Amino acid sequence: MKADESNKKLDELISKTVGRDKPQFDFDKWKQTHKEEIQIYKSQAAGGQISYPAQQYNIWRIIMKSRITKLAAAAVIIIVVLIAIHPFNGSLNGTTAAYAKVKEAVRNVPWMYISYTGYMLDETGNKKSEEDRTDTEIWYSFKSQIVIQRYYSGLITYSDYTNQEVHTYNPVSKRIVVTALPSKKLPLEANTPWSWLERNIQRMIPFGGEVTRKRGQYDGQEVEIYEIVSAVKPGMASICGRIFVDRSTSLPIAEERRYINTKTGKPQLVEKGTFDYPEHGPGDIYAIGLPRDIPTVNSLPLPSCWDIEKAYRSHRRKAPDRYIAIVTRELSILGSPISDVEVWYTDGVRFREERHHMFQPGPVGVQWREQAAEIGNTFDSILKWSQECKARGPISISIYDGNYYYNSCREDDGVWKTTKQIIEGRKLTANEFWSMCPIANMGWPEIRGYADVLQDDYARQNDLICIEELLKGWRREWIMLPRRKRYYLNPQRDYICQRLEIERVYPAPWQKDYSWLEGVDPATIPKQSSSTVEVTEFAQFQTGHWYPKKIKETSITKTVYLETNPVFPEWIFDPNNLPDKDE
Amino acid sequence: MPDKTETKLVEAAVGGDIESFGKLCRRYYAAMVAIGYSVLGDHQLAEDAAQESFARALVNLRRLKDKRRFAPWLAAICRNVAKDMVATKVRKISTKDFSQAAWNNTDESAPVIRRAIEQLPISAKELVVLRYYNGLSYEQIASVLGISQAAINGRLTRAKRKMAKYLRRNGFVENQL
Repeated sequence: MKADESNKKLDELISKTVGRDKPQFDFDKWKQTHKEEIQIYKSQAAGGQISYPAQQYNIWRIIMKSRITKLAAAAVIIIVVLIAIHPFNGSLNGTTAAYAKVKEAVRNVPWMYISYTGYMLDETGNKKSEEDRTDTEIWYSFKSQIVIQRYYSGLITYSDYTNQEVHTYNPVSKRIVVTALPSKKLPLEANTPWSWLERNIQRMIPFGGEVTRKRGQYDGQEVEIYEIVSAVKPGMASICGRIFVDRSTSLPIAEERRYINTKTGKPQLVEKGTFDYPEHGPGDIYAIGLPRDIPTVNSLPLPSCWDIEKAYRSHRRKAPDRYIAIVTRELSILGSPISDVEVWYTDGVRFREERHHMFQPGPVGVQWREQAAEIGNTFDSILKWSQECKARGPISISIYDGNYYYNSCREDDGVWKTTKQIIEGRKLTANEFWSMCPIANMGWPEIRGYADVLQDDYARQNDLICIEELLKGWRREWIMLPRRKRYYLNPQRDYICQRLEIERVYPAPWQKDYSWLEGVDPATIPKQSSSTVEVTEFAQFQTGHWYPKKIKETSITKTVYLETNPVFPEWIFDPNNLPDKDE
Repeated sequence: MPDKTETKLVEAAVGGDIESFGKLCRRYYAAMVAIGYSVLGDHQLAEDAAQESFARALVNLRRLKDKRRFAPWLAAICRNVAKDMVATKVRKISTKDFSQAAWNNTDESAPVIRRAIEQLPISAKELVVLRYYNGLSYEQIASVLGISQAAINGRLTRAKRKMAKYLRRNGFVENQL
């Protein structure tokens, strides 16, 4: 007799209490949600050696799948969305009552206003200077399809998704530029606040960490506190974020984030946000506090400067993994002698950079006549010349082997000196080498400040897009006058900056306060000047991607020679073969 | 002991036949959910734990040394996954969770029965849940736990004695048991 048959009544009681139907398992559905494991499994079966992801990752996936934590995740996503940092994986299906409650609460508010304040902390935990503040205000109206952002710097964007326009106030140029929004959808192509959040979570990568929920108080209010603590990743700040949800309304009322320096264990950046739900929001950009007589430029139907820069940067990053690039600089004097040559070898994570200066101090013409025959004017001849180190002037050769950086340098005295240093942190990538490569910098120079899309006659006549950047002057060891930069981008040729005009202006309408020049001898203030850089010839990679072939500047012309299918001699990346004396 | 068919399925799965692995998953899903439930006290989380344990098992399948012990190995993975879920504070697992789980039963005696299960040692609780949660047979339980049916019988008897003792202390009379 089996033991559990000896007391059938107890069996019945237990079965009745805990028993339930057998759960059904859908293997096909499971396969859809575990593609990564299946890929690893298949690779193993085929003899591959892919390692299994860290356990934390899997637990994180469970966290995001669990119904009780979906609500927590939904709330925490607000943290993530607003700072666009540290996304994590998962999905929200909105099926639970708790999640639906918060979703409904937020869906029904006419406006959501969020005020953020952020500050950096020094090693002792004190606030750093005001310059490090990151205060931001954001208004959302999901019903009116409007998003307004005002940053501490003074930059304001008013995005009207119904009319497909964005009005941007540039605090340096002090003007409003009207441009087009790229699509008829709210950010992240969603139409409601919660689908917007859901889209965010879907694009997030697993980051690891813990989500907990507890009851508590915030400013005397009963709240649910959701806390997310990210996993510690080498080289990245750890995040501790908390969001406070009003228990009576199910609306988030505040949140705070601390970014912890994983080396010191101390917070280095603190950000706090408070949420409000007003009945009415700003009707236009002027309602944020701008005078109505501010100049407005209509650049429709061009997209916003942000969107153009996004495309610009993406083209800048398109780079071959392996290449040899040579850039020569020819002087704009009789005979156009080459003054120096840069050579870049890149092979994945290894690179070699060389700079060859042609001339020793003294008359250039004589030296050039001697060298012209040696260097030639083809890729092969210049490469051979550089490998033989035939330049008369200084030569510098650097190698990065993935861990160490080596440099061998020959100065005017003709003596080679070699140094070696460790490059800390992660390995550099081919894309990063490309971003340092002169071709990338010449074709797509960095746009660093606040810029406006501002079509002028030159841009219109040449089918280019003009972006104007106004920069304030500054004084350090030297004086930099205020500058106006106009970048003329060619959208037909991968947004290459076909023409760059730089004006150094004094006095400048966009910097009327000249207290930074107090005490300076007026004779030492640089004169106003202007310069132009223009791409006069283009070429294409084998992939069809464009790059600048010849660039004309005021006193020099740069020529690019590029080989994207190179055969590297092994010694090229061998630090033991760096020259230590002339052959 | 597993039958020859199961061993063949395991060998085929190790060899790269994912559909064989699927058959094994289907065979042990209810048992894994029960094991997860005995730790987590939540059916949804228990299903998550079972599915996650399949994922871990799949990528570690080649580490399984004894192909005849697939089910106990899978059960051990599932236990660890469930414990990890508790440890990572996915949800505070407590007797309160177990006793307040949303079961359909509305009998007044149900809360006391649930507490009687909850007070059992972990291994005994797991056994009771395996037996009564989805109504697994002794044979199925033996396969999952890797022990004989006689051993299961003995452990289950002892577990139920403890439960009966607890129930008597909490107002149950003899003829109810």
